[in-house]
Amino acid sequence: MSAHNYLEVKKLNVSFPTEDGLVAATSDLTFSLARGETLAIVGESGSGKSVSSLAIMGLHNRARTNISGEVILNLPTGSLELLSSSEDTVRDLRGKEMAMIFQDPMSSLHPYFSVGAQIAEAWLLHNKGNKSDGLKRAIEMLELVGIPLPVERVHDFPHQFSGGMRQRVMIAMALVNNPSLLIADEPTTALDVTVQAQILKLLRDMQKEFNMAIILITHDLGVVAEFADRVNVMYAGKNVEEAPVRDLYYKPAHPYTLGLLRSIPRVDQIDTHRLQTIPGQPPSLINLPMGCAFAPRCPYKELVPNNLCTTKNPELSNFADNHLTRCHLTHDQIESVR
Amino acid sequence: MLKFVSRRLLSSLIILIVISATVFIIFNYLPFDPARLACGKHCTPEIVSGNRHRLGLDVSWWMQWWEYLKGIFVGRTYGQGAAMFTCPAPAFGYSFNQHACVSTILASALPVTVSLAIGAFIMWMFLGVGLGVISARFRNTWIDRASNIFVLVGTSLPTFISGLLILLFIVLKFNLISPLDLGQWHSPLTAPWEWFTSFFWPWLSLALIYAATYTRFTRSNVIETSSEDFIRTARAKGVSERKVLWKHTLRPALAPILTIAGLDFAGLLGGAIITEQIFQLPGLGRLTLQAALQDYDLPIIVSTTILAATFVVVANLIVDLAYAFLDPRIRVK
Repeated sequence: MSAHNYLEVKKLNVSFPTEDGLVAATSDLTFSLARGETLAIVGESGSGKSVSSLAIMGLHNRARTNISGEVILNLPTGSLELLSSSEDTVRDLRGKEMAMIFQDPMSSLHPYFSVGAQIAEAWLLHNKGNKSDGLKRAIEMLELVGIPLPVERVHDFPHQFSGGMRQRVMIAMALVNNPSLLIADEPTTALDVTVQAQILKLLRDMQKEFNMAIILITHDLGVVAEFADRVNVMYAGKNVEEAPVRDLYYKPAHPYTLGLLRSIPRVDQIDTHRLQTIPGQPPSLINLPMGCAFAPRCPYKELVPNNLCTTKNPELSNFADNHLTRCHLTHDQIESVR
Repeated sequence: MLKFVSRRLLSSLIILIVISATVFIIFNYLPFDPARLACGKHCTPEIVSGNRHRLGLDVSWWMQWWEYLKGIFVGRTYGQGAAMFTCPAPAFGYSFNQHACVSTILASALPVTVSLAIGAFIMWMFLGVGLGVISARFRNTWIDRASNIFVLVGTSLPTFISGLLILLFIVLKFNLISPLDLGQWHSPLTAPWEWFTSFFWPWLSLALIYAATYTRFTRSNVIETSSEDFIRTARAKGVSERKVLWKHTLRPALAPILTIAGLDFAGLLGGAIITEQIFQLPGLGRLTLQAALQDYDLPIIVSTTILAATFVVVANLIVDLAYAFLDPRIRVK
C-alpha cells in the first residue's frame, strides 16, 4: 500500500444480526485504490460486493449493522478513518469526496423531482449558492455527460428519459461536486449492450477528466476486462483473489476465479469446448463452513494435505507481484491445474 | 389537462343521472304510498288521490324523475290557486312531511354535516398521519409500540361504541357539556367558540377510528418508501436524515393516502349517520335516516343520496387532479 493511495480498506467486516443468526456479509476485506485507478469488484449475488461499498460510503444503518475494520480516505487535509468518524463528518464527505451510482437508474432517481432539481440538490448540499446557480451547474453537468438539449431537458422528470440517459443523469449527479472516489454499483446491468458500452466509455472519459478513483462493482467479467485496472474477486464475503486485470484472466490463481473463467463462453471455442460449471451453491452467510468457504465446491481440495481446506481458513497471500490469492494450494499446484 | 377535466366532468354527470334514476326506480317499487302517508287520520280515497296529484305521484316514475331534474334548474311549482306555492331553483322537491322545500331543509342540515366532517377530517389527518410518520421514524421503539396499541384500540372500537362512551363520560358523568346543549347548532361565524365546543366530542369520536387506520397506513407507506432506491441515492448525495424524511420520503409516501383521505372525507359529507344520531346533530345523516325509516319522504331521500354521490364524485375528481399535481409521472400533457 503506497502513500499515494486515496482509499485504503483494511480488514473490513460487515455483518447483520438477524433472527436466524449473524449474517457475515463481508469479512476481512482489504484493498487500496489510488486516484485515476479503477478497481473492479466481481462476485456473484450475495458475495458482499454491494455491502462493502455501502459500508465505505457509510450508508448502512449503524444501529442495525456491525461494522469493524478501517476505511481510510487520504484527503488533501490529511487521512481520515471513516468508520470511527461521526455520522455528520461522513455525510459531509458523501456526494463531495465520494459518490455512488447504482444499478437501476429508474428507481434510483426520485420520481417526483426534475433531474435538474436533483442534480442541483447534490451541488447545493456541498456548495454555497442559490437554486439558479444549482440549476446552471446541473445544465453544465448534463452537457458534460452527453444529454442532448440540456437547457430544456434539465426540467424534465426521470420517467421522460431512456434507461441509458437516466444513467447519464445519475453520473452527472454523482460527479457534480468533482468527487475523488466514485463507486459504480453494477452501473450497466440494467442497460442493453450498446448502451452499456456508451456508459462505460462515459465513465472512462469522466475518470480522465476528474482523475477519480473508481470502484466498479459487477458480475460481468466482460465489463471488467474492458474497464478495470485491477480486479478483486469476492466469494462468500471475502476477497479470494486480487490481481491486475491481465494477470487475472491469463494467470488466475484461485480455483473460484478459474471456475468463473471456464464458465464464460468464448467466441473462438464455441464448437470445441463445453462450458464448465462450478458445482454446488455458494454457502449461507449465516453458517459459513469451517475452513475455506469455497472448499465444498473446490475440485482441487484433495491436493492439499491434512484436510487443511475444510479446517483452516486460508489467509490472503502473495501469489506473484501485485497478485494476491486466498488459497492453500501452492504456487506450483495452481500453475499445474490452471 | 382541460380535456382530461372536461371528460371527467362529463362522466361524473352521467354517474349522477344514473344514480338519481336508480333511486326513483327503487322508490317506485317499494310497497308504500307517500300519498296515503301524507293523508293523516281521517282519510278518504279522494284526499289520497288529491294528495297523489299534488305530490306529482300520479305519473310514471320517469316523468317524476324528469320533473325532479327539471326543478333543479328552473324551480318547481306545486298545487293550484290559493294553495299554490313555488320552490325556487335549485329545487330538490317539496317535503310534505316537513312542509318545506327540500332545498331549505338541506340548507339547514348541510352546515352541520360539513362542520362535523371538516373538523373530524382535520383531527384524524393530524393525528393519524402524524402518529404514522412518528412511529415509522422510530419504528420498533416504545413510541412505535404505543402507537400500535392506539391503532389496535382505535380500529376495534366502532363509532357507535366510542361515541356512546364519550357521551356517557363527557356529558353524563363529568358534565363537560350540558345534555341540553346536545344538538344545538351554533354557527361558526357568529359563535365560533360554542361551535367548536359543541362539535369537539363528535369530532373526536368520529376521528378516532379514522386516525387509527391512517396511522397504520401512513406508517407502512413511510417505511416502504424509506427502502426505495431513490432514498438511498439521496443519502449517497449527503442529504441529512431530516431532509431525507421531509423532502424525499413523505411526498411519495403520502400521495396514496391523499386519495383515500379525499374519498373518506367526501363520504362523511354525505352524512355521518351514527355520529349524528348519537350526538343528536341535525345533519344530513339524521335527515336521511329519518326520511328513509320513518317518513318515507322520497324528495329528501333522493336529494341526500344525490348530494352524497355528488360529493364523492367531485372528491374523486379533485383527488385525481391533486395526484397529478403531486406525481409528475401521471401528469397529462
